[in-house]
Amino acid sequence: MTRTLLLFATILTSTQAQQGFGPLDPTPPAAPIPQILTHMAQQESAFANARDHYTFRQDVTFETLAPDTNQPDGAYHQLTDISFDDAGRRQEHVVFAPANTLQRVTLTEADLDDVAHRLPFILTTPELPDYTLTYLGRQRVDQLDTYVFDCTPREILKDHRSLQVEDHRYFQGRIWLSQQDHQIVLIHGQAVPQDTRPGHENLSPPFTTYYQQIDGKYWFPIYTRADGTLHFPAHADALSQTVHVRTTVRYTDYKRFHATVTLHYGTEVPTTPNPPQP
Amino acid sequence: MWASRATRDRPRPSPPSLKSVILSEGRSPKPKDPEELTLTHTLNPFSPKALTPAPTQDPSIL
Repeated sequence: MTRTLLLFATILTSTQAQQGFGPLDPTPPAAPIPQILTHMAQQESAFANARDHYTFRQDVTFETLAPDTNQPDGAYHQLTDISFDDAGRRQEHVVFAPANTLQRVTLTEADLDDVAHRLPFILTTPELPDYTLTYLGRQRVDQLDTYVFDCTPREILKDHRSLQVEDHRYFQGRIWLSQQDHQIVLIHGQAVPQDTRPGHENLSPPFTTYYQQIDGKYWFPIYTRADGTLHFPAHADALSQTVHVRTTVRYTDYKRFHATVTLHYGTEVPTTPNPPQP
Repeated sequence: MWASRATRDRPRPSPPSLKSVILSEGRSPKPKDPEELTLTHTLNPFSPKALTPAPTQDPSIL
């Protein structure tokens, strides 16, 4: 009986070890950290280029939750097909957008920009100098062995107060890299800077984004969940307000495409001469 | 996200109730016990019913 229980406990432990987060092990990585980060940025840049040849569907929901019931009392929902043009510019085609019923918060341009860029965060070679990455250790996440880094924008480190909200926004938080290919497989953090000027507060909750290998090579963002309570302090013209918000983004239907179309306007279409008739 | 202005605007103070005006200006004797306070609060002084004297129940009139 004791052996049976022990075996059962062993099986249970090994099953649990395949899910969730293992302990953070501060052992140094197998390769020098600068080498890992350089390779990561190269991989992320390659992914950014590869992603330009994909279309996908983005399903965004912002919700406010009632303080008494914790049930949604307002929502913004939008279904958008995303593609990238030849210059890598993001093209959006809204396919479903029911009426916005958010009443306690108003979405801002920064929120929608975060959905497009900060939530599905990638860290390419040109962007790498913008961040300070600090190695935290190794960690097993589900069935993946990862390296964990703290990721902080250098501008934030330099002087947080000098960074204006109108300036570029960054990701700040923790990133998990696959030990195998040094690509980002998970992130948890927040878009910064958060605007805390009295009367102009523009806040957003912390979020977690999960990535998945779609094409057997690159890790694509597939799901983001943000959940938090935003505190809007009182000031001369307004009372304080606390709002529980939840954001979910699903990135689905990744499809690779490749097409080059050239249109000529106002010029004669070159034609091949007809072969001589016999 | 911004807080919606409609719900953040500080609500305007509501006009004082008639009872508080009467009490503060001394136009009505200050109630002495809780029962009287309740009566003053619930009775509408502008309704015709309030101005009509209560019918007497003196059996000698009948």
